[in-house]
Amino acid sequence: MTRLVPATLLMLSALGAHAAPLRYAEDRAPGIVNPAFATSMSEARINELIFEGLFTDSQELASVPKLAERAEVAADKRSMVIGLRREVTWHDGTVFSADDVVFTIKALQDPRTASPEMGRVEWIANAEAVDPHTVKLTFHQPEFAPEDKLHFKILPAHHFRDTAISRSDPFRNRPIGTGPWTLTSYNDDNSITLQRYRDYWGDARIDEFRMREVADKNYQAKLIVYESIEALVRVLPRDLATLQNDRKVELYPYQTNSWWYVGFNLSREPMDDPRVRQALALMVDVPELLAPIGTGDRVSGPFVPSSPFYNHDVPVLEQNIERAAALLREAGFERDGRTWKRDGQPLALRIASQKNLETAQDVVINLQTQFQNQGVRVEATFLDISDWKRQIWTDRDYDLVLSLWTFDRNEDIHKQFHSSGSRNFSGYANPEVDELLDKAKATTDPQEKRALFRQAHAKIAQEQPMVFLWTLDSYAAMTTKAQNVVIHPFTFFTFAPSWTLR
Amino acid sequence: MPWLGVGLLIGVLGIAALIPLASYDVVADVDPTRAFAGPGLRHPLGTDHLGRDILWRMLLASRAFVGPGLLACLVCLGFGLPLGAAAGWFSGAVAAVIRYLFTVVQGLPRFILVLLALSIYGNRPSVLAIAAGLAYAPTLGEAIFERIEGLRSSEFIAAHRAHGVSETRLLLVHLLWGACRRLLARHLLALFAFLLILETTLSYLGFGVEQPHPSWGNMLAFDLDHDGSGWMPLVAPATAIWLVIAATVWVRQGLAEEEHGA
Amino acid sequence: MALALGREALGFVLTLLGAVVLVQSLLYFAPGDAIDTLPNAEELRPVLERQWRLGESLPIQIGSYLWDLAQGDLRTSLVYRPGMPVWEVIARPAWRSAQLLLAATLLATSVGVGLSFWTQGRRHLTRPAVWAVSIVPVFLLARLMIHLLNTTTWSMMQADLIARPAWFALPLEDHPLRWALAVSILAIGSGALSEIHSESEGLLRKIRASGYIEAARARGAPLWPSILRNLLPPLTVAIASRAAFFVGGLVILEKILLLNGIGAILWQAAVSRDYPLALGITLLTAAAVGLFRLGADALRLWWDPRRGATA
Repeated sequence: MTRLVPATLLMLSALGAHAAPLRYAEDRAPGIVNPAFATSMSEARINELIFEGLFTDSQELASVPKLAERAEVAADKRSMVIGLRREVTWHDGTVFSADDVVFTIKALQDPRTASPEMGRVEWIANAEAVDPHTVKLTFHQPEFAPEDKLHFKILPAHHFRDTAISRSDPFRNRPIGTGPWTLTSYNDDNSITLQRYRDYWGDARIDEFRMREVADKNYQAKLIVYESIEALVRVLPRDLATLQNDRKVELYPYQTNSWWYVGFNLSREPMDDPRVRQALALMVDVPELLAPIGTGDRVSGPFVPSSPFYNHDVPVLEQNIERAAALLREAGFERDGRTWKRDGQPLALRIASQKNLETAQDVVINLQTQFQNQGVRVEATFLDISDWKRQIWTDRDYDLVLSLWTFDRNEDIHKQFHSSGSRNFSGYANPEVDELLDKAKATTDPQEKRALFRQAHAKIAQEQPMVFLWTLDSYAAMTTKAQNVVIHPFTFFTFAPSWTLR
Repeated sequence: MPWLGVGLLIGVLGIAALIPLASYDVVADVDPTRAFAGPGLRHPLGTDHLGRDILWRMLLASRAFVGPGLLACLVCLGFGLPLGAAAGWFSGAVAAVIRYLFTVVQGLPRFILVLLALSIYGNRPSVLAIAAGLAYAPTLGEAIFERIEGLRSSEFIAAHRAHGVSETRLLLVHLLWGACRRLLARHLLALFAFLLILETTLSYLGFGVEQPHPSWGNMLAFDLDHDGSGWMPLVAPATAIWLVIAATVWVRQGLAEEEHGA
Repeated sequence: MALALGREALGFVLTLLGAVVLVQSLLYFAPGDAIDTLPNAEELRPVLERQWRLGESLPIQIGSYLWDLAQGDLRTSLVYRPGMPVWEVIARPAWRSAQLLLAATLLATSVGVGLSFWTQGRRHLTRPAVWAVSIVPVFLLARLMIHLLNTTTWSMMQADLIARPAWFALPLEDHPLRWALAVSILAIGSGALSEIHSESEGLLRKIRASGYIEAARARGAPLWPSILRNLLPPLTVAIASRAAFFVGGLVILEKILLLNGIGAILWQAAVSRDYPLALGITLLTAAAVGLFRLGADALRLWWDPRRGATA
């Protein structure tokens, strides 16, 4: 082998004058590069390089104008007027105008488009172009921070004939945006090449991006060590140590607006009994579950600790075996040898988790072990996304789930905890919480909203419809050749225009 | 070699049958603090990334394919044998229809059929076994058909008929048992090996047996690229897969030689 | 001979028809569909069920699919490449996969036959050696090769013994070495090579025993054409009947070596329930396998030394 390799293989030719691209890995290549139909994170990331919205995030994650130049919200908060940038052109040279904004909103709202992004524009009652560079939006109800909801990407009206846009439109792999990079080729090996748009209205440094599909997650970290790629969007916890020791790789921590939980099916025995839920929660040693998969902050309720809505007066739950045992006895269970039994039936539960949630496996395995050591038998299943939706969301056929919720800046927990919420599959219902959430949804006063959500946090934590676990630190890895790197926790490339590559 | 193969296969079946009696618990045997311990007295083959004993997991993993393998053989026999025998015995229109069915199924690559079935009906060992058994049935059926059709009008059968042997007895005893049993065994062994390859491959690619339950396939997927994992997590399951496949081939070769010799 | 081929062609069409019915029925009884994979599936279901033609009854689904198929329309992908015509998704990958498959078949045949000339009729260490490597499953062989090549090369690069090779690191770079690796693993693994080898040895034994050779020798004619003429036709048929088996290895190999062929796409389609795409690829492979067999039969008929007698 030692003799064979150097003799048979070609040497890498010098790249010479051509600037090196920044290559980043995705598990799966974007299926469609049209923001109206984006459903995966890899699509959201590549759209961030090609397209722009009216507003975007600053590095402090506050809304700042992007394609908008100025915006004025009416006194009654039922409408707003947006002045657009004048120097912006689409990648085909056409001038960007108010028609594009109006078209995008109408297209996303059009039921024939059947866009998964429909929900992002349903609060807009009407959009009209006042003049080529001014748009007026009217809302269904008062909005206290409409710019936070205007981050969706704008599509070129001149490319489409009708507001009913189709997934089949050639735009799907030959997109036209206003962003700093333009998609130059969708390659045969599933990679995508993006080049800097020369007439970009703003500033961007890196000449070329290349998205590489690396389906085997086990292999991604190795490839950055081998210098075959420059960036890794998300490092698996078990690869952290390897990358930390590599002098040519820099790790960038970022916190996503998401928290993990073990959810109970409240409509089933014995989880309908709050004492049993409490007991199960007290059996869990959360730090021990977290340690093997990374670092993060523990949470005591349905918000991340950095959120303004997080109630810091509610303490996180600590493991307490004696108290758990006492609660189970109260609920009618008896310890028979190693297992808890009620009416001769052992306490045995099934926990489900999502297959594509890479670190969930280790957590579930550890959780199984912890429960089992306390005399509760737990069987694990891992479901793919469509099975998950059917079995958990629709059929509600489960005892426990291990999963996480990810939120945008609005952190609206209405869907998860309101008795009529569309994601409330655990069957949680508390009139008081319903009232708090309704009020929080209706209010336009940020102070009041904060107070209401904090109350809701305390109420929910008390009833324990789920074991609140943690918010996990994520790490991106990037070659040290890349500088000035700041990473957006959700869309990743939002600040890429200021990155440089030596 | 055939006897070594038989021994190995009996050993694997035995382990799979007896391992539930052992006190080892996949769930309880987790201790990240002793991850990647090398081979030693406590852990003859060392431990994996969660500190689980590799030897125990190796033994336990035999269940991942032995059960489904046997089920697949049953399914395959249940469909392939009667259909193949009917086609060979009746010939004519019956044979044409049955053989058409065989051709349709055989035209679709087996692996693809199994993959489709798993994605449609859920990723379960029973689905894997039934799909593999059904996908293999035409191959078995075709072989039986050819054998029986060849013998049906032979002097050997004519002689038995002349002696007043009943038709059913002729088919069951003289044709199926007498002339086809080694052929059957060879095909079932091939199916068993096919199922082992299927199961380990799918588990390796994250589509078969899932953690915490061990499979030689998912054991291979996990630990290879860890720093400090050593060679054992790779060598142990790889060798085991090789040995079982080799055993099936040895036995098949032995059967083939016996058949040609007989 | 024309009649025989015509009958086989008819059988081929009937087989494809059967495959459509079989796979469509399999899919029809599937719980869950592609809409489930969207984030707001509940909202979009009414519109998408119509657009994606998911709500119809089985006979109508089969009928309308066959109707579309007859017009050369394989429909559009739903999840893997939403909105892209299936034909466009798979055309180039299919061509790549076909090349890979063909190269692997040729390699396995030539090496297998070559070895059999060398080993047949005597005890030879090569036989168990070939066999021992060949029975290793494709996925394991691929995994080991990548690991071995990458780690050794990387440590040599770190020690400044070699410059960075263009293929490094496997399997990311598009380089002939990756392709060669794929071809050889496919030709060797999961028993491919050893089966062709022993098949060919068996045929050679028969040919030698049959007296053709002696006849040729007596005529003073060269031996090779005679042997090949008797060896290749049955061997081609034997290999063609294993074509479907090769395709299975292809799925795995393409996935592990990141080769963007129909095998890798089929995997994605199956996993994400992109049924039109999965159906399209399944039919295409069935057609390819069928054509391969048809071709092999035609070759056999054309080559067969006994053709004069039967025609």
